[in-house]
Amino acid sequence: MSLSVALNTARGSLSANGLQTDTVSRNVAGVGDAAYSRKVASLVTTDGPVRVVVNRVSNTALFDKMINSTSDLAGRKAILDALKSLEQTVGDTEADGSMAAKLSALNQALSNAANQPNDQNLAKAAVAAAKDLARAMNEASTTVQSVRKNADDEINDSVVTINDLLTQFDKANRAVMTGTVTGADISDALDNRDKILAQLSQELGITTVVRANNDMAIYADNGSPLFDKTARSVTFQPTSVFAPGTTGNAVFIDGVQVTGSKSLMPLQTGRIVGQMTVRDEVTITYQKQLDAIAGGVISAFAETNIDATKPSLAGLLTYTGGPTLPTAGAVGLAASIRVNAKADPEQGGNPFTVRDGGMNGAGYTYNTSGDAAFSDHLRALQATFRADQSFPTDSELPTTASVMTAAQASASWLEAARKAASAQVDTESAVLSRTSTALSNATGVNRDDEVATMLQLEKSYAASAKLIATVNAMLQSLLDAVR
Amino acid sequence: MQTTFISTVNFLNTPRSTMNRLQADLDKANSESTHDGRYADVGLELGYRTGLTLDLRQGLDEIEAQVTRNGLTATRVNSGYQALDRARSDGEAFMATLTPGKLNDASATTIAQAASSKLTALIGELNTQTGGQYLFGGINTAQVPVKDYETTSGTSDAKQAFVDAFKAEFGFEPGTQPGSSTITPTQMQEFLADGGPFATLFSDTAWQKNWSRASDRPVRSEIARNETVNTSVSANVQPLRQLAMLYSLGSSIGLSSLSSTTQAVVYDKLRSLAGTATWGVTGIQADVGAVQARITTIGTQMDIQKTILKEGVRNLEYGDPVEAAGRVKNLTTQLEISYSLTNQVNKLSLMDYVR
Repeated sequence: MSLSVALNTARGSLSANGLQTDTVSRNVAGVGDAAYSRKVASLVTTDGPVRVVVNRVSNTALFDKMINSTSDLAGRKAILDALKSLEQTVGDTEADGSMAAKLSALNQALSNAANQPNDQNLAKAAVAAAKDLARAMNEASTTVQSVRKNADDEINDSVVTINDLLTQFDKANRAVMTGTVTGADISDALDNRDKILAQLSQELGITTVVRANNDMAIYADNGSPLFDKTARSVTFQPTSVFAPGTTGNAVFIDGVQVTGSKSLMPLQTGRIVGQMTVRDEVTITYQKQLDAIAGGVISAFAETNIDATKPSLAGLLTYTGGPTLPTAGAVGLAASIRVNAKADPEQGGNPFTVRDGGMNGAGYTYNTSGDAAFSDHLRALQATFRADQSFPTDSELPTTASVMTAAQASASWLEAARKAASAQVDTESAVLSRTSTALSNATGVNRDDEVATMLQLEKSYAASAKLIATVNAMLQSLLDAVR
Repeated sequence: MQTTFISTVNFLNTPRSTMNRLQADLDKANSESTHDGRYADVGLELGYRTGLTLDLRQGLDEIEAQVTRNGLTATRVNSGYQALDRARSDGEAFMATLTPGKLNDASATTIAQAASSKLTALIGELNTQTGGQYLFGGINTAQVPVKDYETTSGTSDAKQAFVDAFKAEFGFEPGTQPGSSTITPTQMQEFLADGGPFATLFSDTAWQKNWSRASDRPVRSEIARNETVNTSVSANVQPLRQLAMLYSLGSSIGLSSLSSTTQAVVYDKLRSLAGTATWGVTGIQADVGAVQARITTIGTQMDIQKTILKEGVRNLEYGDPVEAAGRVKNLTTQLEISYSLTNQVNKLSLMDYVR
């Protein structure tokens, strides 16, 4: 060992110290960034002076778990948000804004009219209540369709975001690969790549595979490759207008359908899946319920032919296809249900047709003698209103029930779905929060820890500097001796 | 070697991370305790039981509406009952004047006048109106049920029909002398006999033609779910018709012009008619009274039912307000702790201790 070697080592130590300090300052800078992972500068002793290798702390298991629950939560949140929008059609039970409450109001109005059939104001009130019900149904149907449209738009946004993220990922992945091959510090590039993955996982569930040279491939949770050497295109055709019965388009990855019933292996989680559930399941079922109830009300108020020689025709409440009664399971009734113009005083109709019948002509007039207190037809209407009807099984309403019970069941269905979705979001949020905490603890930065490291570095820098000074003094005294 | 590690982000955020949830919970608890314990989001709280509370509320609305309707129905039934009561007591008073011992030669004119005024009164009663409905019109409530007998101009159909029938039987108009005094009791009996010309004047068809516009069908009201009762009496019912028969006979046959023996025949007929008619009206009153009683009973039942339904809604939609108030207190404390911790933790830094 010579003094010059000692001097060289001390110099090497100083430069290692500089690199380590750089790492500390990078770490301190990343304190506030949740996506930043701690860099560790480790000393590697080689033959001569020490060398510094910068690594990043990572935890693949926790990271995977984090992106999984991100996908799960994003999907569930989308469903909950949609259910919240749909819930407007039910509202607070006290506010009497639900369809069940409007049906009840109509029933009351009919009973009042039946009690004093000669009172024109009561007949008008019954027509007004029917109008209110029809309007509530129209609005509910509009709400459902706007929720569907919204979901469709969200899917489109999601698809655009995914394609954008995949392009970014391509660059980030290249940076990692190049760095790996050249042996450069790739820790920041890895961080960047993970950040993109975390964003991607909000849109759809993903799994990743790391291959030679840190090359990463991304697969959607159904196995479709999203990124493998190059980004695969995700395509979706948005629908501009939604009406009851409109079918939205599916999402394709690399030309393969990954959503909907035609897909062999559909996507499992993520915002796209949540919005697909909203657009093609929740809203469809709810629309079916609305249509079934609308159909039930229309047929409950139908006018039957006196001699039964002609078919029954729509009465107080009718729809676009009226006066022929709608077939079972007809689509879009809730959107087009309205009060018969023949009974509506605002449209020049006679409200007493509710009492007397005759909205469909002579064969359908029940009060033939024109008695003012004729209440038979009103009572018959009440009876059919309370009578059981059959509802389609796919509407998830009771198969046999009165319209009133069906409307109540519909409200129950919606609130139950909302309650379940809300509970799922709560659970999934807790899981995500826990995983994120664990991940942050595993890979994040502790400022105090960095400060302590800095103190250590300060000391070792001082020691190295002192060493150089000492060697210098020793060499100086040697030189002085030989002078 | 590190055994425990916590990132600064977590260290600083942990006391704060619960703040959002605490505030949301506090908002909910506040709303519950100020609304007497009613859940902040009833739909979310009840889930599939939302339909149940809607059903209970609908039941409540229905009962309240039914109670209001029954109030109106009761008014109509009571008015009808009073009108019948007056008609019956008038009939009984008239019958009292016909008591055999009281009759003398001068009675004929008095009775004819009394019959005439009572007939007007009866028609007045039968044309009673409440809330725009003629009470005795059956379901034809919009038209005056019984036409006037005595008219200021011309002769009413009913009176003309009587005169015509009399003329057809005896050949001259009632009260015309000398013919009237020659009518024998037998002839009069034939005229007044059941199924005779006089009775025919009050047959269904003749009554509908000359007297009444009322419908035979009484107004029916639903006084409780699926319980429909007759809540009006038609002017066409037999006892009321008999009262009209009684008075029109008394006022129009020309009593004073008849011989005393023939008068006795008419008196007999009047007594028998008055008896049957008032007895019949009593029967109708009994039926109406039963409906009145039923409406009262139903009112009491509905009050009980209302209490039960209200209780049901309360059980579903309301929590415990005291518990909610306690929760508010608890959450406030927790939130304060969270604020204070956040502040303190943020102040902690190693930098302050190394120089």
